[in-house]
Amino acid sequence: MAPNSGAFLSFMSQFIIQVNGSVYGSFASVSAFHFCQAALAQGHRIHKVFFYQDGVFNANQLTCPASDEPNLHQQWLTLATDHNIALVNCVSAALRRGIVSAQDTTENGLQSVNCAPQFTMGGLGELITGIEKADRLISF
Amino acid sequence: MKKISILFRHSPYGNAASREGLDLALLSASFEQEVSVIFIGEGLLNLLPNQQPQLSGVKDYIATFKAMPLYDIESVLVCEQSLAQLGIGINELSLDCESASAALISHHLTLSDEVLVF
Amino acid sequence: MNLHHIQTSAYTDNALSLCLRYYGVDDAILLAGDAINCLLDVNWQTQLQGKTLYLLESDMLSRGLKTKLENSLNSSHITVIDYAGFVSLSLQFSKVITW
Repeated sequence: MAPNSGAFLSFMSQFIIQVNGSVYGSFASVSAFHFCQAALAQGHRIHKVFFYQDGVFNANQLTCPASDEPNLHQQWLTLATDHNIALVNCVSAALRRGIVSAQDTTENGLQSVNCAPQFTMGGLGELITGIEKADRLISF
Repeated sequence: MKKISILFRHSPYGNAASREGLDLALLSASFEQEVSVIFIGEGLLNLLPNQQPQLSGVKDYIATFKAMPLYDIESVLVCEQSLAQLGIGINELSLDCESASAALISHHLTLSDEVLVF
Repeated sequence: MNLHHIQTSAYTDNALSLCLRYYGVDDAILLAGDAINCLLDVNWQTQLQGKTLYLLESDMLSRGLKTKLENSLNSSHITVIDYAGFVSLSLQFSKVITW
């Protein structure tokens, strides 16, 4: 059972974050990013950010906003590196939407790769095992 | 093992929410979680019989809802208020489900460890 | 004890109205993003009466809604929080349900 008493709150908790919104044009991913920053600042641990549905677009390394605009894709990479967070795409959701890793490119005879190497392609099982391990799942 | 409830609140075909929610429901069950699925609002349109998904240009994932009992998804609830609102009888649905009051669904959500909404 | 997390506008999505149908006595609602817009509307204010409400401050400020929402905010059941507050709330409640 997830701990739920007030006394626990001073301790570190484990979060898994699920992102279902795209890297641009959706509020969900920005909000998830702010939540992660705030949780880490409080000393909590985020072991995984799982990208499902349109969330897989966050992995697109060809994301290219103007220089005076926030680059959320890049922000996810930096956050993951700084805090040792696994960025995991649902592979089937990603393939359907044209987000492909080097391996997917080879396996499907495609021309190019757009999934940043810091994002791993995983199955939905990674979300489930992540939920089992975490104190809280927060979806966006 | 966690108690995971998966809610379907979107109709089929307009977006991929139900299809991707179904994938997650089946996978959670195969990972031996205690999975319940709950159909609310337009989500219960996923359970209407005689659908022809190919006419809307998508794969027939609807048929896969019928596989839920095989995956040991025991609890399938449908919101009785939504049934009434959309003029659909529980016996018209393509799957054996339990018609549940809002209070019962609320109670079910409270007993779940995590709830994912699609 | 569920925290219902609403991210979409009540005018384009029925997430908020569905969540109200299954709202339990110990639950609360967090309005984020476009979900906060409904607080401008007297009808929605009435529907949300008696519910425990939290409001994400950055989304209210980004939309220029602070002055417009002053009356609603004076009502005792709405608390304005930042993301740090969201994190704390997510641990105080037994889970967060994102609609």
